[in-house]
Amino acid sequence: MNNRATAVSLSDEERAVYEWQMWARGFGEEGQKRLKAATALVSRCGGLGGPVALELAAAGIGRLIVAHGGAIQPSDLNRQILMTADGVGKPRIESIIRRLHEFNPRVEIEGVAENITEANAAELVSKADIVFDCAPLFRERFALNRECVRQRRPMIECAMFGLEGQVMTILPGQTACLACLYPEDPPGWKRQFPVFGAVSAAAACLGVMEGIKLLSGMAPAALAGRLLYYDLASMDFQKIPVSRRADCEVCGRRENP
Amino acid sequence: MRIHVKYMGQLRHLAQRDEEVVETAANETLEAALRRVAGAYDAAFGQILFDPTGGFRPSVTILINDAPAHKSALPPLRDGDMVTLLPAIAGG
Repeated sequence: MNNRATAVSLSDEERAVYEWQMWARGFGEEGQKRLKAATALVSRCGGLGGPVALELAAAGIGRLIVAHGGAIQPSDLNRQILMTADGVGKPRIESIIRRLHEFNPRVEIEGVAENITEANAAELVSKADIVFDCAPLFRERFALNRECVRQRRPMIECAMFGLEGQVMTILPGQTACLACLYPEDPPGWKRQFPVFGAVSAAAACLGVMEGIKLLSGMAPAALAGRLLYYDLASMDFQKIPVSRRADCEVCGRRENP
Repeated sequence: MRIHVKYMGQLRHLAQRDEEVVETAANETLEAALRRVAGAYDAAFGQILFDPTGGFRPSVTILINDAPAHKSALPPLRDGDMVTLLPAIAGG
């Protein structure tokens, strides 16, 4: 996926840390080097983006850009595993950076103490090889989607509600984008929603594996153009094909051939 | 004729049930049948499912017997059809 991997080498310490995952078929040392050469942007590091960032750090991504505004609230702590109880009232980004660094000090981390907006999306996306969309508001998701399509960056779309979750891999120019799936700002969506951390983390882990496959080249992204929807009440998982819309305002063929 | 309607996301939350059996009249469309159903729930249920003109919102994914259905060309209902309604979600 990225040519920078040829200039990257692994230290003995890194080989020791990542040895067991380098045994995975199709990954190996080459996959690990590609991951180390890569930068991922994670939009919000709450119940979903927190485990995304943590798993990317665990796997040895080279650089993480983590964007999350605001201060830790008590109600964050049932799911936001990068936040700690002693940080309530303090900026979330401080806890996020500290926890990630403690877990894997080899990962370079850029913390952004704000959420994704129309104003900052272009710059943040430009610095990343891949983007993980984990925000709880559609306006943030749509802003990120627009920039990923414009800059041709793959975006892993992850979301949840209650005991349900979904993941879709967006490859601009090849697959449906978020605006193909949701051509309008869905009415009735509220910032507050029922959530267990484990349901969010399930979407996070599924999404991270799509990203690792894309970045390392170990396998095709299985959810490119397909929405994986799961229901942890029934433990049903279903892949739903999502087609590009020719009239999509974001990725429609006329505007973005 | 009876169809099974399965709710996901906020629709499940608002309906307080996973699914239900809906009796449909002969030649009744899915839209018409679900507009009747929506009347039994909080107004937010109908707002998520239908646009102001009464058509299905583009942000709702509809599966009929587990296959995605094109909202502009929904097939006639058949007895025993399983209709799944997936509204947009963005929880993180």
